Amino acid sequence: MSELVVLVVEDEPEVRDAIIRDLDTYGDTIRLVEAESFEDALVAIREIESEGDFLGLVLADHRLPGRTGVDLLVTLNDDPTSRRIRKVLITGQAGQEDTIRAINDAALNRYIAKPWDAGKLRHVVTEQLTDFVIEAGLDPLPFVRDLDGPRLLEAFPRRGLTE
Amino acid sequence: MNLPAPSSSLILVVNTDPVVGEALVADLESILEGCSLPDAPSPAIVRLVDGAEQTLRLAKATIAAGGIVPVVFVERTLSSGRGVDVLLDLHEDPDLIAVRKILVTSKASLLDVDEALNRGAVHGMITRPWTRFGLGEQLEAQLATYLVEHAPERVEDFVGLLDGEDLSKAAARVEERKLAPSGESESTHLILDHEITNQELEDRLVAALDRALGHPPRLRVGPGTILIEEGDDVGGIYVVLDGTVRLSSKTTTGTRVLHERSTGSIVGLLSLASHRRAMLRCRAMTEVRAIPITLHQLAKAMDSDPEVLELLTRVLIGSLARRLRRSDELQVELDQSLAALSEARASLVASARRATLGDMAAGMAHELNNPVAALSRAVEHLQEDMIEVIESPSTKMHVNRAIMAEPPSAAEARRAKATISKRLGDRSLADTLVEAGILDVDAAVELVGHGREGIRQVRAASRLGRSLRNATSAAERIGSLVKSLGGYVRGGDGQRPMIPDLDVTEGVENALRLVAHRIGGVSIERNYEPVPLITARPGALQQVWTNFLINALDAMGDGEAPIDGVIGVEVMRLDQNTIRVAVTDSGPGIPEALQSKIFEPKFTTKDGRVKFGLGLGLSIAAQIVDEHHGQIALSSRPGHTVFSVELPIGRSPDVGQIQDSQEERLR
Repeated sequence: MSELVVLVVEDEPEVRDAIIRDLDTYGDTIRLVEAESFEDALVAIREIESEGDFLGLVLADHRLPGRTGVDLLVTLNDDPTSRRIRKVLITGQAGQEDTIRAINDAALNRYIAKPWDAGKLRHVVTEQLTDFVIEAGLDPLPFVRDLDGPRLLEAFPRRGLTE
Repeated sequence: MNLPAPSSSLILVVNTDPVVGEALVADLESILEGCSLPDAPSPAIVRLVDGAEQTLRLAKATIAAGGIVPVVFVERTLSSGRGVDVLLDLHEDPDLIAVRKILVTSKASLLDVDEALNRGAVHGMITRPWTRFGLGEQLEAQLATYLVEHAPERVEDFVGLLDGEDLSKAAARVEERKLAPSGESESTHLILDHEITNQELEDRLVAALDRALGHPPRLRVGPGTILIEEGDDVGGIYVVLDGTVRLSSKTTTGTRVLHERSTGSIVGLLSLASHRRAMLRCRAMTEVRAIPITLHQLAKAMDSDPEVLELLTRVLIGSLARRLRRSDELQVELDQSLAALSEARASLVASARRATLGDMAAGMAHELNNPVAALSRAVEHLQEDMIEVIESPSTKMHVNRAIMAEPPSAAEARRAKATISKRLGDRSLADTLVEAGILDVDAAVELVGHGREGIRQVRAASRLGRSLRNATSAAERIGSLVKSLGGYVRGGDGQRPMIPDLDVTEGVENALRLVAHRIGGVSIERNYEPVPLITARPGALQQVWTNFLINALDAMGDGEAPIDGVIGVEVMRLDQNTIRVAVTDSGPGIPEALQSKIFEPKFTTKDGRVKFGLGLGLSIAAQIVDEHHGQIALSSRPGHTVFSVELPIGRSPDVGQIQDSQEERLR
């Protein structure tokens, strides 16, 4: 069965561990994949695609070695095949300039400041994945328990009406 | 040689060859004698002279005595130089410009006479050998021209030589002169006379006023007397004969005293021209003797003697010119002061900002020390007690392994998950196993035998160890940042003492740690030689290194975090007495025109964009290096820019000197 994937891009293993651990509350329907740089993220995305999974959300650190998280999000947004992936920037120090660029050029969906609050992080991820499932037209039923169930069920019959 | 008689006419022959010279003199004398009445003396004296100096002296003496010098004959080639130069000397003298100048030459060529001809310094030429007739024609023509133009009243002396037409022209000119206003052409106009001194002007004015007003009474006042009060109506002027007066005016910033160069001896004239309201206060500084002249008297004097008007005009122009000049000087001084002031202000603002930043950094470092110490101790204690509490040896083993093991990279973790999932056919289980720190397929298969509960236990133990490891390393990182920050104090203040045993390399490493967040994709190549400890202010030097590094990063990344490139950091012993620290970058380089200015204060290539949080300008870096008796240098070409510092070993700069140079900078 195809799964919904959240890609966590963070270069510092301690921080990456912490994010993964905070997001470990989702059930089997949502898989977490980790990457540590711009290039590594692209490799991971190819792996996800080759396994037939849906990448629903990229959670990228702003500061990465070499090209930044903003670069990554802009790259994803420029490619029509990856445009609808939800994008969240997680950062301790983005300047205003960079944040504006992310919002304008990467269609950034959310911005999470470090240090983050685990509950808020999970809330943002749930909200974004729910949006993705609805927009991508995935079957919402497997995600009702892990994501925003009422919203998914609300969207489901509406989709049925328009079709 | 005898001087010619006063009011005579003098004709000069300039030649260094006495034979030729005397021959010309003899011929000229004979021509002149032939034209005068039989018993009358020759109308002009002819003299032979040997160069420019004698020519000018004799000619000027004659003119000063009321005589004329109508014609000068100059040999083209003199033993003392070119005859042309004598002509030019005559031509350039305002008294002698009218003298008719004739060049005597044996050459037909005009070569090297051009200049004199072009400037009108040659009126005629005669060639050697000359004929009596030719010489006579030339002399007559030149005399006629001179006399008609400049001395028509003497034309009668030469009556035998000049023809009727010349004589009638001269007569007409004499008539013209009678009609013209007297004295105008004789003496230079006062306003145009550049040679007249202030003293002469004053003397003449006093004399003219005395004549016109019948010697008005003199006023004698003691020092401190105010002759004119600023803002009052002025009723006239003062001509100061003896003593000193001071002119001053009140301004918003206090009393301004006019420079003495702006103060003439006739006071109040400018105020008369400006609504009769006194512009300045005039106060006697010594005992002063002056002539007060009322407006009424002034008007009377000007009416009765035009010279008074002329003199006053001259005085007025003179004092205006003096004040104008002074005002120009003041403008320049003002511009300089303003520039210096704004520089000083900018430097103060910058230094205050740096001081604030430095204080804040030091304060923050201090405040962070406690929580960081508590955190790192707590993590260590947590670890010790945890191991004590855990009973299961296998759990203990997994916790310890996770604490010790280097965590897998993201790619390794993904690969392990994929491999294990392929073997077990369960992705979720594979994920759990990798999170439990099981990367090996066989170990995974073995662990699966323990059932789900067993796997969850192992995962918990492994995560526990991993969290402890992460907490320890995070606390260590905060600790090292705090340490770097603590070493980072205000650079220019001289408050932190020099320490005798500074490890330069450690400072460079601290600086690298501070800018670590900006290094991006740049690779750092360290090249450290062992170097002796030196006496220095640690924070100050660290600022220099930080500044070099930030500049290098800025240059390579153009403001963004650079994607690639190399920064070389080198610490080496240059010789017995010197350490060299160099930071090399592969950025675009610094344009040659800017290189010489880069260590000067206030130089920035960053268009005023604030680029460093903690870094200081290169001028401050240079200042710090100066304080350490070191040398700062730059060499740059595209792709290779080196900022380097050479520091002396074993020389301790004394603190007083540092403060001096500090004060020097603030001035």
